[in-house]
Amino acid sequence: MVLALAEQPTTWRYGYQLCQQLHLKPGSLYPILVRLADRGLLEASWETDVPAGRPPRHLYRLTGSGRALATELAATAGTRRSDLRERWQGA
Amino acid sequence: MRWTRRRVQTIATWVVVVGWAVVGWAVFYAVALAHADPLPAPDTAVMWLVVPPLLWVLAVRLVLRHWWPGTGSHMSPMDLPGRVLAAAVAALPERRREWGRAMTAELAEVQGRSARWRFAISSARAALWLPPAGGWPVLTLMTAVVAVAAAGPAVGAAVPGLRVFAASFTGLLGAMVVLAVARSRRPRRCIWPPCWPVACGSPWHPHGGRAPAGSHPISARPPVSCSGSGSC
Repeated sequence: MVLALAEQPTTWRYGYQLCQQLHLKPGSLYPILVRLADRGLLEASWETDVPAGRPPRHLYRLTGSGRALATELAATAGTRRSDLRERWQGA
Repeated sequence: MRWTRRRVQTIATWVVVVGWAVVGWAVFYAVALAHADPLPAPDTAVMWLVVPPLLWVLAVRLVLRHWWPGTGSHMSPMDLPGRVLAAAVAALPERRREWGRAMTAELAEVQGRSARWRFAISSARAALWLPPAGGWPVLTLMTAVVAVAAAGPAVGAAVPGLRVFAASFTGLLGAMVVLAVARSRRPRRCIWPPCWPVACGSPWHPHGGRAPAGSHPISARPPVSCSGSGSC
C-alpha cells in the first residue's frame, strides 16, 4: 500500500481507485488506510471540486514520514531481492 | 421499492421475531435440555417464544417511530447496499465517522448491482471492525448479550417457580438494550447488530436529535483536510 501510494507521492488518490489498483477489497483497504493515518504516514482530504450529483470523495496521499517509510521499504525490498539473487546464483 | 416508516417497522419486527425464533429458541432449548428434568411444559415454551420478542418488537417500533421523521426518511432514496453500509457506518465512533463517510462516498461511484453489494458488505465489515470500535469490544458485548439471553432460560429451568420472571427479565433487558443504544449519545463504540436498524440514523445525529438542514453526509460539506493521528 505504502509503495503504491509512493509511486505518485504528490497525487491524491481515492479509495475505490486504490482497491482496483491493488486488487484489495475495501474491507482490507480501509483498515490499512486508517492505521497509516493514525501513525501520521497518510494525510487525507476531502475533494473540493465535486461534480453535481455525487458526494465528495475522501482523498489520500503519503505524508513526509510516509514517503520516508516508502523509501526505506523500497530499499529493504531491493536488498532482499539482491540477496535472493545472490543465494540463487550461489546454489 | 419505496421505503416508508411502516415498511421499515414491519421489516424490523420480522427481523426481531425471526431472530428470536431461530437464535433465542435454540439458546432456550440448549439451556432447557441441559438443566431441566423433565422438559419444560409447552406453555412455558410458548411463553418464552412470545414474551421476550414481543417486548423487543415494541421497543424497536417505538424507536423507529421517533427516529424516522428526522433521519429514516433521508435513507429512502438509497438502495439496499447503501442502507447496509449506512447502518454499519452508524456503528462507528465519532472520531472514525469520517472514514464511514469516505466509504459511503465511494459506494456512490461504484456501478453495477453485484459490485455495489460486494463493496457495501466489505466496507461494512471494515466499519464494524475498525479499531477501536470493533475487535474485542464488539466480541465482548456480543458475548455479554448472549450470556444474558441464556441466563434467563437457565434461571427458568433451574428454578421452575421463576419461569415467568425469567422470561419477562430477558424480554425487558433486551428491550432496554435496544432503547438504551438508540437513545445513547455515544452508543457507537460497539453496537449489537440487531440494533442497527434502530440506530442507523446516527451518522447524521451525533447528538441524538434531529438532523439540521444540510447535515446529510452526501449533502454536507465535509472538512477540507484531515490528516494524521486519527483526529479527523
